[in-house]
Amino acid sequence: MKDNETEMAQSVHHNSKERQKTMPGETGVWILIYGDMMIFGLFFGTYLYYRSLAVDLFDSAQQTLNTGLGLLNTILLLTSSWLVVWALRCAKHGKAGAAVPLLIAAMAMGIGFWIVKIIEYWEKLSTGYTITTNQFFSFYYMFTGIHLVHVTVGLISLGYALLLARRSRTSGSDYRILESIGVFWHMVDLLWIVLFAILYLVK
Amino acid sequence: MRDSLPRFETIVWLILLVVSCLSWELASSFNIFGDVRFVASAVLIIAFVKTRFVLLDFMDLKRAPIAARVFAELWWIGNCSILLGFYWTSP
Repeated sequence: MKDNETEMAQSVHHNSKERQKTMPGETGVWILIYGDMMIFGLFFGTYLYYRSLAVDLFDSAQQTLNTGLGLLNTILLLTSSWLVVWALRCAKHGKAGAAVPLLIAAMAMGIGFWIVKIIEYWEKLSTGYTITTNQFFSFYYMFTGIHLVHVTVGLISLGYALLLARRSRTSGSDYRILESIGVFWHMVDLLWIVLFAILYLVK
Repeated sequence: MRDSLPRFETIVWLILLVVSCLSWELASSFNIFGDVRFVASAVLIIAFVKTRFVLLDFMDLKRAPIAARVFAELWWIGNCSILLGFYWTSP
């Protein structure tokens, strides 16, 4: 009887450990990611609510945005995310050297996003559209600016992942760090997908 | 490097790229379709379905504990529904 109980307890413990193992990255990072996703969810709702109060103003201001650059940024982040998935797969298979060029390429895509965003800001600011121009531009600069901070944090984190891969530190707890950086970077991609749709495309 | 290529995720990435371009094209040709609201709704739904692919396949939540996956599913479905609600109730 006691043996059975011990066996069951061990099995429960084993199952719970198995479940923990399947969650990529550190739990703390997921708390941050889910928290961020909730906050951005509020941003999206707030934007659509205020848009519903002044549809004409939002639509005319939206016409000034360059949707082509927005699409380019979407392609850059999606590709960067895929490269990170590939780099992690290499690290998982013990090929840290192969992960290095993939991480460099992923970072290059992220830097590309940064450059395109700065070009967009410069375009807007030079034609007189600032954060105080109207409600649409307040939301535009605020949301894309906060997102750009996330891109910057993600790029710095990818730099650290690159450092780990260069030193062939891709197993055990180092792999979990790589996974955490990966999921954060994918979240940055995910948030941009919705921002691009609501700010640039939804009329 | 090539033998570590994540084949399924590569297909997902290609689909996401194609769908992004189609969604942009759809939004750019709003005038061709009768009611712009249907186009805008399609663009929104497509965007959130794309986030589901990122959550499950890139972030690997399909192998995560059920609670984590439920949160992710509720996030995209909830947000998409709320945004569509705000959009359709606007004058």
